Amino acid sequence: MNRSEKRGELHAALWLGLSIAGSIAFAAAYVLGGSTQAQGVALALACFGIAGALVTWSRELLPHGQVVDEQHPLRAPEAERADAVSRLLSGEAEIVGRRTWLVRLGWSAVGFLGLAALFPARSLGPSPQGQIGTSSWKSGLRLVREDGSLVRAELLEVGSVVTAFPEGLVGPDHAMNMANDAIMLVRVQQDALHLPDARRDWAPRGFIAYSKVCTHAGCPVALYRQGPQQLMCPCHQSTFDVLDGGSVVFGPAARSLPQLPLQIDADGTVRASGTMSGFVGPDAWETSSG
Amino acid sequence: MIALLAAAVLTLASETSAGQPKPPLAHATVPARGDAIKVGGDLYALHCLACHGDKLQGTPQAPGLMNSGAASVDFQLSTGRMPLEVPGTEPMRGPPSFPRDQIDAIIAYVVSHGAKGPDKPAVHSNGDLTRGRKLYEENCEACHGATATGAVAGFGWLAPALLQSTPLQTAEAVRTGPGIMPKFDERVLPQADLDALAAYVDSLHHPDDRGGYSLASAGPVGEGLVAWIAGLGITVVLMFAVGETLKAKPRG
Amino acid sequence: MIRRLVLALDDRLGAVPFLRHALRKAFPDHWSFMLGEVALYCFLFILASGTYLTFFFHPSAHHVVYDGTSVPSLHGRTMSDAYASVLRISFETRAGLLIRQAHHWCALVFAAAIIVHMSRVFFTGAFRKPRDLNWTVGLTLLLLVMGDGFTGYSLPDDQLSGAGLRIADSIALAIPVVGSWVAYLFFGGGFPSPEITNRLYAIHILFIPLALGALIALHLAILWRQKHTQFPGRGKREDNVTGSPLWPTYTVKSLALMAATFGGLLLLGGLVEINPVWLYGPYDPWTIASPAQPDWYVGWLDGALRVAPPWAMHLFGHTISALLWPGIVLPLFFFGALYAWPWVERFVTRDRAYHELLQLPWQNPLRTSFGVAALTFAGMLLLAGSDDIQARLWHVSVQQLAWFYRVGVLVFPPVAAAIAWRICVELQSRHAYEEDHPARVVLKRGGEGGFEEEPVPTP
Repeated sequence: MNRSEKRGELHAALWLGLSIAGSIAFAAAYVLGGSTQAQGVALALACFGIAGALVTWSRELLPHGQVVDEQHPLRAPEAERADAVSRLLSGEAEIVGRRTWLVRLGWSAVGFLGLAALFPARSLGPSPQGQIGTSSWKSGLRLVREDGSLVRAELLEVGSVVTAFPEGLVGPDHAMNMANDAIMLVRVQQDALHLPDARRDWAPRGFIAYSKVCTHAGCPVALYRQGPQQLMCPCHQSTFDVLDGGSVVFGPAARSLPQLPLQIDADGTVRASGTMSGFVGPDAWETSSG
Repeated sequence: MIALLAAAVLTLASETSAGQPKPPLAHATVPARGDAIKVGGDLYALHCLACHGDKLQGTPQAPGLMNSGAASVDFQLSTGRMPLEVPGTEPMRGPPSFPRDQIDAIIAYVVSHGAKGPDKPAVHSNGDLTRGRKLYEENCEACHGATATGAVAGFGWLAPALLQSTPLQTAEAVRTGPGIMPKFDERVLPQADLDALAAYVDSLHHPDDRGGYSLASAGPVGEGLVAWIAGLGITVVLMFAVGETLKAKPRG
Repeated sequence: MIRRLVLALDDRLGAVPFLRHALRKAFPDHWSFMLGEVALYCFLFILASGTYLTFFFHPSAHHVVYDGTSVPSLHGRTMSDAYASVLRISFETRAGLLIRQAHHWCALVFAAAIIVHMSRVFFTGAFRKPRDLNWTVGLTLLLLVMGDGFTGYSLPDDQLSGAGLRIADSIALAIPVVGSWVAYLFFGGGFPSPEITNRLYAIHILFIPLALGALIALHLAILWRQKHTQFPGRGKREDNVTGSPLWPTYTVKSLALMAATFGGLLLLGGLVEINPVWLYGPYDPWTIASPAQPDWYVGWLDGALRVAPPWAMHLFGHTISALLWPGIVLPLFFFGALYAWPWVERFVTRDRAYHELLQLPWQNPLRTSFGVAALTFAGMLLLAGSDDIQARLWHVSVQQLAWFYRVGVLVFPPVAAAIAWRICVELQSRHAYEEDHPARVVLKRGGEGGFEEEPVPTP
């Protein structure tokens, strides 16, 4: 054994020692409830030790011979290829023969089987018909906050915002309702509003409500820019104008935020006075603007 | 003239102390109320009047302060946002320009001249963390981020990080809505909720990073960078080292 | 022991001829040939770590009230069983957080390794006949890994995963005509359906891993049958492969790489925090944190959603969602182009020959420019996906930055392609020049005190 081989063995041994130490350290860290960091470093050392040993082994203890493989042609000789093809074709001819109508019927049977297999797929979910872009909001529903407490007019001063839902549809059992019913209720100076004429009385005393579900990809438009009066979605930065009916100011959204018409009772209760002005959430085939 | 001189001296004093806000002075050393208003008036004249106007009425450059109050002024001054170096830009957090007693003096001046915004809110410690977190997730994280490290708020505005915000400053911001932030007064956010929120924001100063280095809380973006640079980059370097050192030598 | 095993196997399977051949199979020595192996070892690691995690994870949307003490700010909070079980894995299962984090890091590195491996294959022309077949298998593997990554990211039911699923649901809704049916059948109803976690779980731990395993086996079998390509060089021809023998040299080398890959992933898993769901909080569909990003391998899609123009169309009382273009058409075109490239190149160059020797990128300006353009395009989209973080970093308006990327996504790829073309042509002419003008010269002093160059003939 020559000197370089001895040195190689020593190096490999050191690496393996490191690996064993790492494994033991990991076991200790595990038993003693050590931190994730200690566990990770110890186990990594155990791996790196083996890697180092193998590199050393390979570099200093193994021969470095090179081998040459022949790269044989992949394709078979022409005669064999032709034979294989003709066997396939003649077999097909034997199967089909003059019975093309029967073959067609056979394929139809397979097709029908495929169609039949689609029926269980129907069980995967309910029909979306009449569901897309809807919310639970309708005229008369009172606004509540996430904890179920009523939203009253005296709650909000100008420049304030709350997330609101229809009464009775909050809590863990109504997650799907809450996902689509959430509205941003903000209060602005009433004379700053320039809503379309048809919506003139939708925002009494400057209380104005928009769906919190972005019309782009459904993220909550939770970022209320109070000075410029905009609602922005942190996912893709679609930005909507609070003052003029939720129109798109910037971003990939193609449709205004739906607005919820509001009314305020004499005792200060805030209610919806109608349904959402448009489809809630992202566009789909069914959400026609007409 | 004397007032100006006094103000200049005070400014010098304040400049030397900028960067290291003094601890609140004991009650005994706070000047009498009348004196405080006068000192505050001098400071106001020197640092605030040009933009906010001599009667707090505001100028084209800056809003009036008639709707501000102790909470707002204290927030803007104690977080170093005011005075603004370049009027019209977004105020950013920095070392306060005035020591505590001067801030109190300016507050006294502004309040005595008719500013009628909210007073400094009370914050009690031991707010309910679970409640605070819920409120934070519903009302705050869309702008300030899940870990309060701040994020963009659109069109060049930033929602600042809250990692240096004291519970009082958090409460002041919540109550007054600085910049483009909405405000939440005691009707929409009762005292217990305010305490809970302030406690939760305070708890975010020491995030639970048991998983290891937190990558400045940049989320999947930071993680992606690390995966490419540390994960794959190091592996490639290693591969290069292993592959090249172990290269088989041509026979013969 | 080994002797008896080999003999016993040969008795029953006639394995010796194969073994004799296999043990001395040549593996080329260039370091870049090991990139695919890193991906392979990532697969092994992700399988092992993932199996461990399945023992603890509950794929259930069932509500529980968190009564643990590990995260004080969640005490008493109602959350899904899935999220609660991830908290338990992270804090109450010893080594759980390490394995969870290493598993997630592995997903990120896995996808990156595949992409770098594919870039190597692409830019050296290794995908040419007969390996065009394996190129399509590899591309499918990349798509499967991205799918497995996204379903995994969506499992813990934290704030980020919920937001990601909401966006995925929106993209499904954008499919013309059948979109809402696709979304409702896949998610089991409207968003957020309680069914979804369970379904994602089946996809994440069963369907995709099975498909990955089968296709990786196919990928390797094809590789084994077709043998490796190699860079041109002395003694390297179209009809041979030169390299280390599989046994023992290459085996040791490859095992070293495996151990190093595992070590790197465990080191990351231990030291660098990833997806701290306890900081993001359980998913409430009416809340969102900013910034919100997916894992990087989906980031390009998120970027496409950010910069896409709001082009919705209304036809006969129906809507074509603006999400259709960035969410469905663009990925289909992008990956369609990658699938088709070997055949496109063959059609354009009319080169139908077998290729066992690799090219250097400059030798094929067309291919290199296309590859550079594709990478630039994807890279710009990926960058656009974090425009809000960049805007905060550089203190610019995120809206301006989005416009920059809107333009950049279209402008930079052709520019990069043109530059790549130019460099390739430059290098080609330089190499042609060097072949005509051997570089080695001897200076000889001339009679009048000047110097003269005299080329030395190359051996």
